[in-house]
Amino acid sequence: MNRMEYMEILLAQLRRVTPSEREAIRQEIDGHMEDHICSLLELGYDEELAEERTMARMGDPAEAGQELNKQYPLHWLILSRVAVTLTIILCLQAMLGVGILFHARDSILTRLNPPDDSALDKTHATEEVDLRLGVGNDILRITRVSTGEKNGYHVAEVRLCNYNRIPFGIATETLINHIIPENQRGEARDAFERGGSFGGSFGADEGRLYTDILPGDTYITLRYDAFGEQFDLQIPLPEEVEP
Amino acid sequence: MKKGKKTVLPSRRRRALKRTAIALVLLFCINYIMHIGLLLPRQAVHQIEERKATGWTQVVAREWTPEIHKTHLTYLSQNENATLFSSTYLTFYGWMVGFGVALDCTEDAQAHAGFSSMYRNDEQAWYFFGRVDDSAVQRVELSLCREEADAMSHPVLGAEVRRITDLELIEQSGRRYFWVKDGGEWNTDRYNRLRPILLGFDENGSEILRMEIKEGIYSHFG
Repeated sequence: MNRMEYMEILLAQLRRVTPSEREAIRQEIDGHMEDHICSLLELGYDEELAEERTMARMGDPAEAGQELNKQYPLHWLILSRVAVTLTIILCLQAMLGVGILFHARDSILTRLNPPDDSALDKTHATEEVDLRLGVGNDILRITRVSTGEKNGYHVAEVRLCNYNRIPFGIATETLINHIIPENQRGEARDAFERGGSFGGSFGADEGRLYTDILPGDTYITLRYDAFGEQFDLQIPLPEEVEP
Repeated sequence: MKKGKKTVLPSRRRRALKRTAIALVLLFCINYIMHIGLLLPRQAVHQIEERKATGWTQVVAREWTPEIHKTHLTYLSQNENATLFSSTYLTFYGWMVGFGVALDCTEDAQAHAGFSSMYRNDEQAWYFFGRVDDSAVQRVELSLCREEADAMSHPVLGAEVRRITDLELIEQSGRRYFWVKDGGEWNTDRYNRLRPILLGFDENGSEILRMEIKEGIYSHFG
């Protein structure tokens, strides 16, 4: 049996390997045999005897091949291929769904630069604030309180937003709409007239809330009670300047 | 004879673990940052829990809705404070969030109920669900009524178009829930709003609960 025949018998036992693994094993064993043959040649052996001694040292090729085959269990190959397939699918999803990243953008931008604009027809007083309140998994953030006129009524306006406590987490879409703004007398507008959420994204939500006030009112209260979470937050109104 | 170049034979196990680690890291990033690539429908339900602020809920019932999508799954889930209806379906981007209805069960009431109607092309599917807190209620029925207009064009409760009587009360965590799917064959005008009424009967068969179900959603899938 020559070296080529030895290798053929050995490789024939490898039933669980892929073509690339088979080639890698062939090169490995070939290199190992080559090294040993070279060592024997340096000791003065002739080529044929060196090859024969090398093959004898490596043992029966069928047994060697079977032992080597056991080093390649099928389940690792399956896991490896599943992982590669999943990686390819995820990369395609990421490339095709890149537009969805606006959720992530909103989550970060709202944290760093929360909206604080007013939509009053006429503003009597306004104050930037930065009130933060944890509500469930979200942070409710109030950024501006204003008093003035809206559709002919004297109102207080609250500008707010909410996002998940954890960056990139999902923001609640119902938090702002469940908040009821009340004036000092405990009065609140109907749901349709008190403002609410603008309809944000998974990353963040924002909105404005309104309640009717009287001149001289000094605070409003935001009440929330939903799904076991509740708060009553009193917010001082900015002092209105006499015209 | 030249010495052969020694090559390191990579372990199949090591390669598999390395590739799996890469896939899992990528999966986490895409799930967490882009909110897609969800491998399990329960993950989509969790997204709806976050959107509706119900907190973590436990599944009470689950049903396939192949009329809408072949892979469309609807769930009824609950915790002490909320009853949640959610839907999800499988796409190339993984399990996607459909629509959800959350019932706030913290207020004292005989029952809390909701509905969801789903349309896709000519197919429709209706779900009615809720929680019954009144222990005297032993049996529930649904009376589905049309919304009609009075002489002043104000919406009023109209005639009953369907009565659903075979409603099972499912007990979980010491609370009782109902959940039923209806094909909506009685709904010949999909633009006409429905006014469903929940009826509750005691052990003697007397009606002790009559409640209009106002929490609901009409959803259209493309």
